Amino acid sequence: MEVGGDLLIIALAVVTSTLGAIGGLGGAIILVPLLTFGGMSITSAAPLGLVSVIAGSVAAGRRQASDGTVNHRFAVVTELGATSGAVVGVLLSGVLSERVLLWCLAVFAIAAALLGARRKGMRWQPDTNLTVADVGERPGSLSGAYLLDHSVVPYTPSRMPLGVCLMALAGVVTGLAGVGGGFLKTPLSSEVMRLPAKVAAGTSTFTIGLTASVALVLMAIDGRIVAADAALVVLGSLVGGTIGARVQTMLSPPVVRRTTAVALVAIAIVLVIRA
Amino acid sequence: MSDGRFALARVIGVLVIAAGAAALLGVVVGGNFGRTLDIAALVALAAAPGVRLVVLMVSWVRQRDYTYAAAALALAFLIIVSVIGTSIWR
Repeated sequence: MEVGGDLLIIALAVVTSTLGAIGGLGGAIILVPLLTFGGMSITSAAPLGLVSVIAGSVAAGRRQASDGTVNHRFAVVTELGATSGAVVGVLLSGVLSERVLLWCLAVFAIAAALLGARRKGMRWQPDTNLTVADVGERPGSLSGAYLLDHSVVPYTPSRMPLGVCLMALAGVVTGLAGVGGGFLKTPLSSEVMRLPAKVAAGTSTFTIGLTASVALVLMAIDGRIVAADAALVVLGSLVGGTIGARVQTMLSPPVVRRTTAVALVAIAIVLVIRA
Repeated sequence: MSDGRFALARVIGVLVIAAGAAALLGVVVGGNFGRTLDIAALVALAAAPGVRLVVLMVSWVRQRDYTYAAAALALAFLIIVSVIGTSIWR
């Protein structure tokens, strides 16, 4: 491929991974159609989308782990539901037409965008009694605290049984449709299980990286990965994930929610075009 | 609230630098050696989320947080079974 084409792939990976890390949405759902618009086949573009999600997730993870904006215990519990659902979805693939599934996902993305954009202010407020030493997860529970500017914000997720069931359902749908599902996980964590918007985004960034790495191994077994193109995406997405995590630190939770809502609308448009 | 988040951030940082350096060298060098470096970058990246899960599991066992360590083990098992199952089924 020409140098111009290589630079374009790197640039697209930077932009989509930056957006993906801010909202915990991954970004592959935007990167893959963009690559196909540029003339790449979907068979070649899909593995690059996965590489982009993993690289963005790993790059953002460093900052998010130190800021306490990832709740790993919450991630593991909800991912048990989502992965089980995704396995069922893969086994049931073909039960619903792709067109119907994509329309359902688009409607969900719009609904999640409206829900996130409509809410005002911050659900969890900073606690002046807490110090930086309190940032992180509370062992033995799903509670935690994260760093917001120079203050510490404690939180406790709720409605976990409902949330895990919905995560499993989201897993079934993503398994059926063959999409990553970050755009389903972030709103479910934030709006149903009441995780702070930044923690929901950071936690989703971790779980989608895990899911994407499994899918990438399967594609590698099928021999579908072009290493040279993937290396370009790795470079772009490592930069994008780092920028996204840094930008997310600087933004207030309502701005993160609104940015996520805008990205969800963009995703819905992409899904409708695909349908 | 000591949960080893900085240790985890360091592990992630090492993986990011290793993958980034391998990918950059692979793109610059090109040829067979470059392709080997590209593949090394991909392997480091693909392994990173799994390594992170294992690091978390170990740190939770050290904190005697056995419930969540067991949940992480169950997730790792589920992922391995689904990879093997899907590759055989296809």
